[in-house]
Amino acid sequence: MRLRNLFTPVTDMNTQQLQTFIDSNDEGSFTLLDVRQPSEYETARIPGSKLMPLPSLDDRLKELDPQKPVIAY
Amino acid sequence: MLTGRGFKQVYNLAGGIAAWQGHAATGPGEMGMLLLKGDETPQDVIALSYGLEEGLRKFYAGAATLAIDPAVAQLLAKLAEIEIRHKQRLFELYLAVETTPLDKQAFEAAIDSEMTEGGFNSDKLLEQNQPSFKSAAGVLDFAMMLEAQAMDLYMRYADKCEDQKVKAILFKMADEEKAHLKSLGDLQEKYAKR
Repeated sequence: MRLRNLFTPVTDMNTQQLQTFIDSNDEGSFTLLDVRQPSEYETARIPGSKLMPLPSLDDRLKELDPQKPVIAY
Repeated sequence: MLTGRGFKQVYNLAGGIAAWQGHAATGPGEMGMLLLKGDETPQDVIALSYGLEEGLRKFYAGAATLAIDPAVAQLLAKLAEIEIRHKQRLFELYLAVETTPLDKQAFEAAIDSEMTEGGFNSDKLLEQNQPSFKSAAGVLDFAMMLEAQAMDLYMRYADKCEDQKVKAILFKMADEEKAHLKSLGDLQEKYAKR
């Protein structure tokens, strides 16, 4: 990993923008990524989210398609 | 981390889940997953989805008979009717993928509808949620919760399946649930204005 990428800003999306994005894109064409802990995922998640807790993210990134937009929370 | 690993479009949800105002899904990721091994054929997945939709239809139809307010009963009956349309679309999908299809009666005879879409038992759901059927708003809110669970379940199925055709069917089902959720939201707005 390049050091500068650690500081690459990620674009924010607010919930209204996310709702519009979800409504206007087919399921399977994007990834909703829940990076919280399993207990938090179980309590409430955006429907269709994939759970990948932050500590395991690096090891499991190959499970995701880098060509698809990812919205993380 | 993602942008440094080749992901082209990465967004952060501002405010996280706390800011999310849409319906949320709950429960462990394994909930309802016992029905699926991951090596199913498109026909298997269609049959499974058909069973889930039928379970939900039975739930809405059963709830309609329990509702005291005629407007609520009518709404529940309408929701049951929507599930019939979902089932019809699934049967059409089955006819498109199966080279020697069964007729509808034989196809339905092999369906298990004991679990509803969200991975619950429809009789238990009815028993536990009767208070929700007192008002249209309660019914709609409950239905939206169920549809959110269903959509989440289809997406978890899709994640587990390897076959691209099967994944495509499950994504399509999740899309259907998403549209269903949206129309329920519109109905909720309509009732809120009354």
